[in-house]
Amino acid sequence: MAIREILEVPDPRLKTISTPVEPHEFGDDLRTLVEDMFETMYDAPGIGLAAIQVGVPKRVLVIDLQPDDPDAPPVECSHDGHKHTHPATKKEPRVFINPVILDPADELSTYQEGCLSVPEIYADVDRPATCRVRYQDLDGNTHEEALEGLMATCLQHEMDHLEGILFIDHLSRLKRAMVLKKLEKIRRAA
Amino acid sequence: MIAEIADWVGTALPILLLFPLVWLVGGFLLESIDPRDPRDEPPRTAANALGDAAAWLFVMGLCSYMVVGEWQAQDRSWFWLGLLSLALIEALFKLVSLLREARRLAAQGAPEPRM
Repeated sequence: MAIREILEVPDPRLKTISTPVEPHEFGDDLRTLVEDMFETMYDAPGIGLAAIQVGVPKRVLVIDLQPDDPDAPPVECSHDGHKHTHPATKKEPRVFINPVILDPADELSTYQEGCLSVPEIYADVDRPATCRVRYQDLDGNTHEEALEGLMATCLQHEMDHLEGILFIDHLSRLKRAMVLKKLEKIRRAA
Repeated sequence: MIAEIADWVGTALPILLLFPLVWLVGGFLLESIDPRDPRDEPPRTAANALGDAAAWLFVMGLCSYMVVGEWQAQDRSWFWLGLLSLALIEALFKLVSLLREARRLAAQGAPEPRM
């Protein structure tokens, strides 16, 4: 397993439309990619990652919402430069290969989204509140599942990556320009 | 009045140039000799920013009091008036920045997870 580099805007590879994983591609290389994606996502830290975010233009997503684990002791952390504690979380890793969204709800829900490829920027995005997803697992078996809440939002956010769309592309032209300007400022300061 | 303003500008000009220089060099020196590890400091909160804003409000009040006193004096010194005016502007700038920071920190809460 290895932590891979996460691509950040304005890297043109993030605009790539990912290609499906072909039947002959299910195997050890795909498992290694998924393991690396999980390790990269946990290290970032994040709750979802698309393969294109680590430079692989394949229709592969990993998601782990990592809900709080009230039974475990708090975890020490210093990822933002300050030593502090977080509530412990449970690992619930999910892999979606060649996912397709079915029946997106008309009802929209708003969530303040952040993206590992757009550092330090958060913005409200409207998306269908629920949807169904058809996907394959690591063995190539097909599944169908109904999603709601943060899981539905996260999956749709990651599906956008497969089409070369970032969450800031859902914002108005003015807001997007402001976000990109802020990013440039952050990058200069770093 | 115009002559007085021209006099003030003439007197204040060297300070206007000197002030940012002292501010930058002093800030750089203080930063370089600061032995604290920033990772040991707790994350900044809205209460911290409001506390700092209160301190700068006090500085602003003090500067205003001294500016008014100097202005009303028979033998007013344009040099001190210029210096105190700059300090007043700086204090006002800091106060507004800190109040904006406090508002931002209060609104942001815990960061949302990224995906």
